[in-house]
Amino acid sequence: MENINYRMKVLVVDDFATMRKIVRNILKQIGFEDISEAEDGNAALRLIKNEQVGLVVTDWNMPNMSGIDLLREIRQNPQTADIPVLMVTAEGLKDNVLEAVKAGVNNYVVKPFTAEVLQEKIETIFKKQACA
Amino acid sequence: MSTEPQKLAALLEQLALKVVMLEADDVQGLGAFLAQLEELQAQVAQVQELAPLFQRLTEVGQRLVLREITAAAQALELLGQGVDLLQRWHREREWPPVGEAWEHYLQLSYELGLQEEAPESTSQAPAELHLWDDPELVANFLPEAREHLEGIETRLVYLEQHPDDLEAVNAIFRPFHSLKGVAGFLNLAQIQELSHEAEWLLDRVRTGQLLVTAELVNLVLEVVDLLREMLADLQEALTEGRELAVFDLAPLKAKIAQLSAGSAALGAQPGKAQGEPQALETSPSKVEVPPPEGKVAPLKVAEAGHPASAAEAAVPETVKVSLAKVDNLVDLMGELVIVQSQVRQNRKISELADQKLERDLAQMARITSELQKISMSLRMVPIGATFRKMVRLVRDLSRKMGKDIDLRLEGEDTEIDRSMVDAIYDPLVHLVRNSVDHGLETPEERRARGKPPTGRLSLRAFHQGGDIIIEIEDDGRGLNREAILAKAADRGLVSAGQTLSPEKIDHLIFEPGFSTAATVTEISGRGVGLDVVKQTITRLRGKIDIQSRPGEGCRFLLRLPLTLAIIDGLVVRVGDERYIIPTVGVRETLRPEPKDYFTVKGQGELIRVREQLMPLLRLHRLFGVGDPEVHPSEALVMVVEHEGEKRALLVDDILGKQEIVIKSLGHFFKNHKGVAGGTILGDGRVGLILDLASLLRLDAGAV
Repeated sequence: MENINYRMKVLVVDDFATMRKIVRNILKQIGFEDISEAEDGNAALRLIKNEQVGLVVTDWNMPNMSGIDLLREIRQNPQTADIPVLMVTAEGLKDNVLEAVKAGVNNYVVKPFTAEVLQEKIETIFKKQACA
Repeated sequence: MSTEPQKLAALLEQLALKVVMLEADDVQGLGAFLAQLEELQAQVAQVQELAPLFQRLTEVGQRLVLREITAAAQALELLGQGVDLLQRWHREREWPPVGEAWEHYLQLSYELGLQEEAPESTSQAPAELHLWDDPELVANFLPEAREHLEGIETRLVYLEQHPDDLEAVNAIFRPFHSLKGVAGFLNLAQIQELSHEAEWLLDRVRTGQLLVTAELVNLVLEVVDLLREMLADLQEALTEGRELAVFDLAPLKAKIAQLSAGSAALGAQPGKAQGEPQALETSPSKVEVPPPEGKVAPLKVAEAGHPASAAEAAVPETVKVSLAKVDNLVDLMGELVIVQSQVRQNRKISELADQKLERDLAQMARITSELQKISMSLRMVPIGATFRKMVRLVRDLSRKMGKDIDLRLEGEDTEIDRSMVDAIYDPLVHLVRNSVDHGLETPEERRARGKPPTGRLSLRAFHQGGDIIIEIEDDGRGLNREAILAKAADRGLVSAGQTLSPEKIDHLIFEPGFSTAATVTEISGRGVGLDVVKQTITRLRGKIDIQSRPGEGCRFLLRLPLTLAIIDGLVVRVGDERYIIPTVGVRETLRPEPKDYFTVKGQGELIRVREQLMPLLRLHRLFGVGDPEVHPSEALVMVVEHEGEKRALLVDDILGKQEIVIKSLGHFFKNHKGVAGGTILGDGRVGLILDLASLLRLDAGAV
C-alpha cells in the first residue's frame, strides 16, 4: 500500500521479550525498518514522548500499565491522541476488544497471527487515515 | 433542563453522520459509533420501548468489530436504518413507527438473524514460524518462560496466604496468558493448551466465580510443574533435534474442570470478602509459607480492582546481554590486568626512569583494576532468585510433614557471581530440607514444648569482608548431641569414652556417611548427607559452620567467595617455578630450626611447630623442580590446613600475596594431583595454583 510509510517508527509494547521479538520479526517481514520495543505502558509512554512514533502495536495484558490504559493515556494527551494504536489480544476475549474499540483503538489483531493478517490490519488503519 | 433536547438532537445528528461514513473494517469508526450510541442510550434511558433497538444496534456494531458478521453491507444498512428510526422517533415521539423504514429494519434484522455466522476462524493458519526455523527465538523463550513460572510459583504461595488479594491473582493470570500467546506463535500446542487451562481457571477467580483455596493453589502448582517438564523436553528436543514429546494433559484438565464445577455454585453471590480477615504481613522481603491444608480461610475474592500491586515491584531499566559475552569480557579484563603489570615490570621501561611515564603507568594500573572490578560486577546477580526457589520447596515439604512453617527471606538483594548461583543451589536445598525435616517440630510437639505452633525458618544473606554469608536458621529442636555421639561411636568416628566439646560433637554431622534421623524419610533420605554439602562448599572454597542450641534451634552458616574466578593467593617460589597457595588455607609461615626437623621411620619427615608435629611435604620433590634435598632450615615452611588436617609445605621463598585470576589448564592436566589451575603472573610467568584438598590426600611419606 502506497499510503503506508514503512520508514516510520513502530513501537512494539509487550512484557514478554519473546513476544516482542516475534512481533518485531513479523513487522520486519512486512517491511518496517524502524522498530522500537517497550516492556510496559509506562516505558511506552516515555518513548512516545521523546520520539516520533508512527504506530503503536501493544499487548493488552501487561503489568504496571496494561495496553488499554496505555491506549487511554495516548488518546487523552492531545499531543499523542492521533497516534494509531493496534491492540494485540488473545482469542476469546471479546470484551477486551470491545473495550479497546470504545476507547478508540484503530484496530486489533488476535494472537497468533500471520504477517498477512497483521499487514492487512495495518493497511486498514492507514487507509482510513488517508481518507480522513 | 432546556439543553437536554438540544444535546439529544446534536448527538443524533452526529450519529447519523457517522453511520453514513461507516465501513465494516473501520474498527476505529465502529468504536466511535458504539461509544456515541452508548451515550445516546444513556440520554433516553427512560424511554424503555427504545431499549431493544439500542440493544440490537450495539450488538450488530460489536459483531462487526469482532468480524462475526460476513454480510457486512446488510449490517451497515441496518445500522443506518436504526439511526434513521431513532431520528424519526425524536421528531414524532411515536414508537414503533409506521412505514417502510420500520419494515426494512425488521427485514434486515430477520435476515441477519438468520445469517449469524460462526466467529472468524480462531485457529488461523499457523504462524509461518516453525520451531526449528528460529532456534534462537526458542532459546530466548526458554529462560523467559522459566522466569515467569518462578514468579507464578512465588505469587501462588503468597496468594494462598492472602486469598483476597485480587492483584496477586492478576499477577499470576498475566504470565500464563503471555505464555499461551507466545506458545501459540511457536507452535507449542501443548504448552499453549495447558497455559490456557490455567488462564481460564484464574480468570474465574478474577471474576469472582471461584475462591482461592488450597486445592486451587495446588492445582495451579501442578500446572506449573508440568509446564516445567514441557520446557525441559523442549530444550532437549532442540539440542537433540528430535520431535517434542507428547504429554498427557487429560488428568490435569479433568481436575481443573472438576474444581471449577464444584465451586460453580459459589459464583452466584458476588460480593465482599467473607470470613475473618487474617493478620497480614505484606513486607515484600518476607514470604510467609501458609499452614497445611484446610487452614487457609477461604476468602471470597473481592471484585474491586486495586491499582497498586503488592506482588510486583518496579524494575530498574536493564539490558540483557548473553552470558558468553560477559564471560569473555571478564576473561579479557583479567588478561589486560596481567599485561599492564607486565608492561610496568618490564626492565627496559623501568630503566627509562621517566617520571611522566611512571605516573601514566600508575594511572593505567588504577583504571584497569577499576575496570576489572566493574566487569566482574556485571556477572553479579542478586541471590533472591535462588532464595525464592526455596519458597515452593518449604511449602511442599511442610505440607508433606504436617508442619507449620513461617519462611523468612532476608538480604535477597545481596549479590553473588553468577557462576556461584548454580553451585550453591543444591547445598542450600539440602540444608533447607534438613531444617524442615529434622529441625522443626510438628505443631503438637511445639505446643508441648511451650513454643508457638508455627516454626520459623530464616534464610539470610549478606556480605562480609569480600565473602557472602548465607545463614539457614530454624527455631526447631536443635541437634541431639547424645544421638550424634552414639551414632558416631557406632560408626567408629569417635572412640568410646572420648570426651568432645559440644561444638566438636555438632560438627560430627559433617562426617562422611553420617545421618541423625532414626528413619530415613522420603524427604531428605536421598543418600546424600551433610558431608556432601560440606564437600561441595569446600570445593567452592567456602566454609560451613553450625551453631546449635538444644531445644531452641539450629543455624547453619555458609561463608562463600563472591566468585569462582578469582582467589586470594600467596605466590611462592620452588626452584625456578612459581606456585600459588590459596590464602584461605594458609595458617602460618616460618623458617624451622634444625632441631624442629625429624625423620620418623614409617612416617617420613616431620616438622615441629609449637609442640605440634606435622608431616612435611616437599614441593620440590612433588613437582620435580629445584633441589629435592634442601634442608628445611634453609628454606621456608608454610603451614596449611584443610578439613582440620595440617601439613608443612616446603618452599624456597614467598614472593607476595595477590589476587589471582584462575585459568583452566584444560583436559591435559585434569588428572594432575595437587593442582587446581593455572594463572599468568605479573612478570608473564605461568604459576600453578595448588589444590590443598588433593595435596593433603597424597600420602606425605610417599613424597
